[in-house]
Amino acid sequence: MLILLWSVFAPGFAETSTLKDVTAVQEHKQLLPDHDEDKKWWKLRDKRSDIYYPHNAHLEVMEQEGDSCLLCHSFTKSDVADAKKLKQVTLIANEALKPICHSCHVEEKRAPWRCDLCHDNKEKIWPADHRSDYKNHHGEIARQNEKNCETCHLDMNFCTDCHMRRDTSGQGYHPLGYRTLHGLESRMDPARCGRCHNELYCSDCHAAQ
Amino acid sequence: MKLVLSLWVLLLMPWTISLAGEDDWQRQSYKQSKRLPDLHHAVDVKLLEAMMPPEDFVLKTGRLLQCKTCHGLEKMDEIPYDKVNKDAPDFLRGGPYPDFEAFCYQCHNKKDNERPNIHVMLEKNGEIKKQNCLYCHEEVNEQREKPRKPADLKLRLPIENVCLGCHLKTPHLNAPEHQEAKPKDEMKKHMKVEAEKHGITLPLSNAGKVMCVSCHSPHPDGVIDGKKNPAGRQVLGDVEKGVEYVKHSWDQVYQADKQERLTLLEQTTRERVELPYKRIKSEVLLRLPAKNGQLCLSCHEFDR
Repeated sequence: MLILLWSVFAPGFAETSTLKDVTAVQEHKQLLPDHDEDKKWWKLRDKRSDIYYPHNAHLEVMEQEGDSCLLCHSFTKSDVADAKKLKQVTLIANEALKPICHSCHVEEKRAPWRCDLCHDNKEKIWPADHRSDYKNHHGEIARQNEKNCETCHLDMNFCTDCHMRRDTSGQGYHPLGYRTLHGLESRMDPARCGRCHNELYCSDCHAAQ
Repeated sequence: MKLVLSLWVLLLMPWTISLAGEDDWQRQSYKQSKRLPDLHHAVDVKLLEAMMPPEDFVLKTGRLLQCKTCHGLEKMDEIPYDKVNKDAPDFLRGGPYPDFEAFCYQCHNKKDNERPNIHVMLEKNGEIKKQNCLYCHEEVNEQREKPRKPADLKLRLPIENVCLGCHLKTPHLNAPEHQEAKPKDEMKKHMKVEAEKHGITLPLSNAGKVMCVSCHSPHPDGVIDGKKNPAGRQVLGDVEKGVEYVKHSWDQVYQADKQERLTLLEQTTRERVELPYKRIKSEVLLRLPAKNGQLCLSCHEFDR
């Protein structure tokens, strides 16, 4: 019976383990032996466009910066005499480097910084807690650490596109008919309104009355 | 039947043993094979009186060199070559030696034994240093402006190996990957177009593989007239200074990202390697500039 159960579930376990390995490589945290060819990052980039570096798109800017291919594909002098060992070092040196991409595209925003420019499937880069109806449950976590949200959501438009939306009759941040009902809540906790609205937002209507 | 089989085995046995002997010496110890690895220092040679090795470099009676003069591993001559731990600190006495030559200079005087830079091929007055040509070539070519096929270069070693006597086979990162590469037809077509466009040559070995001189031009500017012979066209640089780098602002972020993996590698290889992130300031002995990517793009093409 045990053997039967094992034979049914073992392939699944093996698959899980492989997926785990691949994830580790995607995060560039694992050294791989030479024979594990299809787990190497340059094999993965054929399957994941978001770890493919569009070389031609960068040629001009690299030249302006005074850099070239050799910046990422280092040809620095080596004292390692063993070819196998040097290949391992080269592998580490050549691996696609998130902090370098993000240095221009995220931190300095010198380069286009829309996430979907490179990451065509946002689910691949989502934190785990985003996977389960996070849109309707993000408020509390966001309030605890807004900076954490801003590591990916670089533009406040990402928030205001929903929270400030007025062109819909559907349920935005506030429930339908909230304009009529907001008085009580705004008196109980005016600071909560103030997270998104400034005084002018209130006085535009209330002063006119 | 048994007799035929026995005869067959007897006939084949010496041939099999001889084959195994040729291929498998690395699985034997020095004591068994009496063979030293290729390019190994000779043993049983008598040291000159003037040569004073460190005290723990044990000599045999009569100041003769033996295995344990240089190697500190116990009974190393009895260990099969492929089982010798070359990463052990005492594989070479006083090791490990990140700079291998530092080991040699413990016996050999550095000043007298340092290799000259044979790539400095021109005297100050512009004359060719002919003795430097003879390091690699069997004779001095007086008609350097005339392009020649690799077979006519009269090199002392096959063209793909000629650099390796002085330079390591692993001189820089990404070198082994390139040396093993055999460009496909599509790449070869692109190389031909680029070579013609830039007036250079991008030679491949007889086996169609990339070699050191595919990218590197061994002759500095002024030795071969690049306008008449594409073999002479190259970047202008200072051969005595070599390649120079400057710091890059990304160095810190790069180093931080690589630390974890380098530490992991160190645990398995017992050798610490640092990976600096540097910008090339000046380059030398390259067929095209690499610091703006031209050299790389003369072989590599990208769709986007």
